[in-house]
Amino acid sequence: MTARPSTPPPDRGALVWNVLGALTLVSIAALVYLAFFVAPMEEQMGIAQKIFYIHVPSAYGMYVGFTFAAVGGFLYLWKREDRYDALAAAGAEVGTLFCFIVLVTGPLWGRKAWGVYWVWDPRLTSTLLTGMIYLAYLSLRSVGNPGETEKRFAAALALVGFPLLFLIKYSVQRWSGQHPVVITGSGGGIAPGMVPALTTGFVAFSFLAAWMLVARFRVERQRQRLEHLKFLAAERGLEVP
Amino acid sequence: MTKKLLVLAFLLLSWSASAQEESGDPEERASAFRAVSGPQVEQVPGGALLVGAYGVAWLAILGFFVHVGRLNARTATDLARLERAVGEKRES
Repeated sequence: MTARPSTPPPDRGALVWNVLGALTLVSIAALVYLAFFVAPMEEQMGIAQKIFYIHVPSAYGMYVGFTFAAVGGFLYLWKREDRYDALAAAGAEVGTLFCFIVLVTGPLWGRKAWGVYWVWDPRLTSTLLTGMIYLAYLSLRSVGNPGETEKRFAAALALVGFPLLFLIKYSVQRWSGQHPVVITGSGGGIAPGMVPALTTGFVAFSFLAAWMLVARFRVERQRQRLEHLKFLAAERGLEVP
Repeated sequence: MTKKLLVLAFLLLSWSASAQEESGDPEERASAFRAVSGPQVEQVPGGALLVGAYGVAWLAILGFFVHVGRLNARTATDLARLERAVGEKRES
């Protein structure tokens, strides 16, 4: 009696990716609507203040990405399983992308607020430094197919960058500087009419960061499987094209 | 593709860090007073800054998905090629 072929299990990753994609698109549409049609114009900054609604959520996305990179790196160093390396790589890419957005939107906001694009403020400097550490992480991994040594070194680099996230967070409180602190306890707060746009920005960028992480993680896992198969094929004397 | 993105990101990060220098030498600003020509108050174009910020953000996000899509397509192609090679080996 031949065994009946079993139905392949549903691809839960694809389902999660599709649901996250839909949630991201809807929440980003809501963010744009609230930021441009509901939130009031700021008294001093004018329309440029609306950069705030993507700048701050991007910084949050950066924290999420780099935290995943550090956790993935730590677990990879501990357990040496490729899925943690994939998690770290996905987190580092997503975090660096959001860091890039923060470092572009921030100076554009600063040009209006301070008259200059950049000041060597503690928060700006520590954000730049963190971005460069994770850029080094990505550079290290982009050199061909990363081997065990590169993966371990990259994982260590992801861990080195992680404490800087706390430095970014607390640098303004510790050393003050010019960076505004409107949404912390010591800040002057934001007008009630601006809160829905900012809150929606956090929700939208949470979904976006999760969507990107899932997408990048899945592709990295697929790439790892391919490399594994190539290795097995070569081991059996098969010429790999 | 990844290398090009990394180089671009590095150049932009470097640009943002060096942008302060473009505002002029502080010594010169302190010792030279010049009459304003045009409006008395500096007009910083808020709209252009806003468009620049949102434009760069959405383009960067779109670029990420294009990068992931290409990586996915390349991996799928390599996988198909490998499967074909294995199939041919079995037949022979």
